[in-house]
Amino acid sequence: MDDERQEFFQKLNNFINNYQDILSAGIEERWLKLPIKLYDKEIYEVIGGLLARQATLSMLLASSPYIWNGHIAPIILRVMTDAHITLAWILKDPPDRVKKYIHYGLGQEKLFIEHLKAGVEENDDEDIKKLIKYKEEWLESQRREFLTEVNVGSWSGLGTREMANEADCDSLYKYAYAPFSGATHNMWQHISRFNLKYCKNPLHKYHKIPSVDRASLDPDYLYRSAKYVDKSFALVDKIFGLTIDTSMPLNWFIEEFDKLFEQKKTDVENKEDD
Amino acid sequence: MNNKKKIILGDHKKVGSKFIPPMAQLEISDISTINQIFPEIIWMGLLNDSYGYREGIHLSSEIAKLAHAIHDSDKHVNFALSSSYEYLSDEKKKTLVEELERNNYLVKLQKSLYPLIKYYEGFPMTFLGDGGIAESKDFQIQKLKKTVERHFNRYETPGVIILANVVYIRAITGGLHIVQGLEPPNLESLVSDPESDEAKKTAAQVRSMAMMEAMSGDKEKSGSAWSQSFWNQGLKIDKCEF
Repeated sequence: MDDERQEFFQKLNNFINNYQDILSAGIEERWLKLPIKLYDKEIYEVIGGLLARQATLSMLLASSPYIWNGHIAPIILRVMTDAHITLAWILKDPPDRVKKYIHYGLGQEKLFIEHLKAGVEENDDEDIKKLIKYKEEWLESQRREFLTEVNVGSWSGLGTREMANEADCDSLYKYAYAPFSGATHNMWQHISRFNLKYCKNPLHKYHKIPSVDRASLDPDYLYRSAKYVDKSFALVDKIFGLTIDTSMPLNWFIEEFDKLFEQKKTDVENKEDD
Repeated sequence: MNNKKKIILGDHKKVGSKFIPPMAQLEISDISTINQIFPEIIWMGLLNDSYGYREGIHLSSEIAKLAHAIHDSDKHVNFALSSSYEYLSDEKKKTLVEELERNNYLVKLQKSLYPLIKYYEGFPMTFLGDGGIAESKDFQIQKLKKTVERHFNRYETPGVIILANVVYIRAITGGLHIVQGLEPPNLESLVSDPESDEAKKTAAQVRSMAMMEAMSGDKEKSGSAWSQSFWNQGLKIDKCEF
């Protein structure tokens, strides 16, 4: 690799590391400044957990440039939009909705444990037994199993679209959550673009054939993930009246990204002048 | 300023969780021009590409008229569609070939239709014979590919012309009746001035009239067996291209 390319990749690496630091620092500062009432600790655990979830997803996307493409990035972005809608909906009435959220999760875990137990009856597996024990202990540490209900419907009692509507995330639902669902659920609108390519033979009716071609890398996906984590940070800041010193992820991303590519452009121009 | 916000899918009818567009509410059959009609008429595309529009149209009209004159059914049969020739008995086919030879049309048809006659199983006009043409398979397949490519889009002139021929042949064999007062389509404009408004209007008319050929009559007449066979043989005839 020539010096110029090496230098650019070093700068990109620094950009990614610094971005991750910004997110990490943002989570830490917000947690310290949140007016946590330990009596209702679950509310702050859910809020903090969802914010950390957003930051983690964005950090891991940043650290993996090879997945800044249409195959993988939309799956992560869909998870992030879902996390934001969940957070925004919960923040409309935290005491009631946090309970629903947690109980649903515990119920799902209970259901999984029951499936595992049924499986182990037919197939005596020591590893599965250990897994069951571990999961039961985890469940019991949160809520007694005999009090845990299992809900096989929606955790909120609403579809995601209704939740988004109630939580003023209509636009996010329409322009991000729904389109990214195509990749997440392997739907035709995604598959036909990313996993099929046209045969140019007219005798074959220009049919499409399976393709495992690599998709081109696009930092726009990382930009979007910065946007979504920024949205979640901003919402929590607004609800709790937090003043945060750490840069907001999106502003930081835009400024530093522009600098990175402006520098690259200058380097290229300088080289052409040589 | 228009304060009324546009309602998304406002012209659609909501049925359960589905929004049905206006056309789909008419419960019309789904006809695919490419799947069902194209294989039936591409033979005329081969003639047009070999000899130009005037002579190509003349040849396809002549064979259709001759076939129509000798066919047994008292129902109208449109011999613009290749699978119509399956209605002819072996004896009638023999008669047709003799007539074509007498009129010096046979060799031209054989030469032009060779790729289909020689390489596609079940092509309904195979009875015309391959005439012992010397060119290689590769050459013939390339010729067919170019013709299929040129005629694939029914909104472009070559594709429109062979659809128009379906209508023209129906008309010259007495199968088209225009209601008094209605203007028949100006088919000549498609050849003489394809970019004109007149030609565009005619093109729209012939597209919909040709679709009706696929909707009328029984399944066999609509050529579904040959149409399926034509496309299904494609992977055997030639490799995929990227």
